Amino acid sequence: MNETEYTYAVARIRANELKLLSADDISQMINAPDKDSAERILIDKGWEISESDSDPCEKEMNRAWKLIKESVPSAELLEALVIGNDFSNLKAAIKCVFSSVAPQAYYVIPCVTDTDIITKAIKEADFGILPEHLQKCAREAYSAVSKHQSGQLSESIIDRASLEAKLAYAKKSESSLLEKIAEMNAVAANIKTALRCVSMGKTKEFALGSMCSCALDNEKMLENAENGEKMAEYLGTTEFDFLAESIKESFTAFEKFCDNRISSLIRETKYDIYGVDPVVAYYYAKTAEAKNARIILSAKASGVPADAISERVRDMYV
Amino acid sequence: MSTFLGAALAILGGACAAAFGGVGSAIAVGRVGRAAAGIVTEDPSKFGKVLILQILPGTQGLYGFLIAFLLFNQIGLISGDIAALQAIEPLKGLMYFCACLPMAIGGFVSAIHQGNAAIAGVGIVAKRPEESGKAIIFAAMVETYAVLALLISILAIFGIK
Repeated sequence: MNETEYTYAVARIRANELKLLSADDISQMINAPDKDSAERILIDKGWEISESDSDPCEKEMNRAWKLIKESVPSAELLEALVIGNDFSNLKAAIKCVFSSVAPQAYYVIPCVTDTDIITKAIKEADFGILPEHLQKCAREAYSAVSKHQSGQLSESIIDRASLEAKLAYAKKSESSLLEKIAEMNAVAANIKTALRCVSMGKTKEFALGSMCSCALDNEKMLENAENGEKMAEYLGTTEFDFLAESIKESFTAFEKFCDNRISSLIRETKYDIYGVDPVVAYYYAKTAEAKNARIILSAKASGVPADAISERVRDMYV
Repeated sequence: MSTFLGAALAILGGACAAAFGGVGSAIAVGRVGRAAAGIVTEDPSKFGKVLILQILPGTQGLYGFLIAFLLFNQIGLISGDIAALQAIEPLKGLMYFCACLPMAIGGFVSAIHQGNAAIAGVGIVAKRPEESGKAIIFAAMVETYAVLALLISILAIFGIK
């Protein structure tokens, strides 16, 4: 698609960027005396928060996706941004159906596939009604629970399929930024899977089966997954050497580093006037914002001190 | 046929000036319009500010029209002076054609780039409406080169004897 086709969308995004939370807003929220005061800062920024809302962050993400869908010439090209939620919903549906719990409360929006279809498919074991990207993994994940009673296997099948779908959808999006982020996320997920599988004593087959194909050699990654130090050494020899330092520290530090890396990547598009990348950047900026708001609000509700919250929050786009 | 070759070359030059300037302006004004629509969707009060930015890359089309008009008047096309048209020698016609090139090329290229600067300016209006004057100046700077192209084309047309 011609880059100038996104001129309208980019302009709308730029206007909406004014409403994004800045680093100062986040700092104010962290230092707010309680959860209500932190929520008031969000309300001042246009967030809709009411007593009945279980998760205002989800509502914000849905608003961001709606804005993108309204503005871009073809929203299908950007489904990579929300396709992961389809797989989260599939996971929720399988867990709930097998535990005889209503899944609706556990569904995440925005998503591509209607959640009612996912519920129906799992309840009736009729996977043909699901869209193509969910069919195979739904069938396998369902059978992992029904035949092998393995919730863990079911989750790993869905996680792998989710990463592969994100990569495939990112490729068709024509956004180099989205491809870069999807590739980094796939590598980061594989690193975590490899380290976890080795520490839990899982077989090589199970570990490789849980990892998606990414830019790095999964077998080599697994060979170096004894601990963070060894993984860092291996990563230092690859194009993903920038991930090496943080994996030595902890999973939390690694995840925070990956999120901050995404923030620095999206900041490169801050002054672009054409193309799809500013739209992608906006969605990731909203994701970082929602993640921070969620961390701060739940920390405030549990009385976590400001210093401890500051360590966990991610860099902002604005 | 050969009696009108000079006139044909001159008319082709004028047509190029008008067409390339017009096409460049149409593309640029259309793009800025799309960006302006995005801003106005979110904040209709910014209509006035973005409208100025949208108008800016439209001038190349007018300059192209002006060159074509001046040339056609100079060679007698507008008055329908057939004798004057026949009197234009091929070399003179070629000179008229070349005289129009600065406006045709300079107008097209400057319109597209002025459009890009104006779209970036729309971004300034979106985020810092109080700085919209600067956004207009950035886009207006590109106008210099369209004006220079216009001047050189005018001087050349009137300089051909």
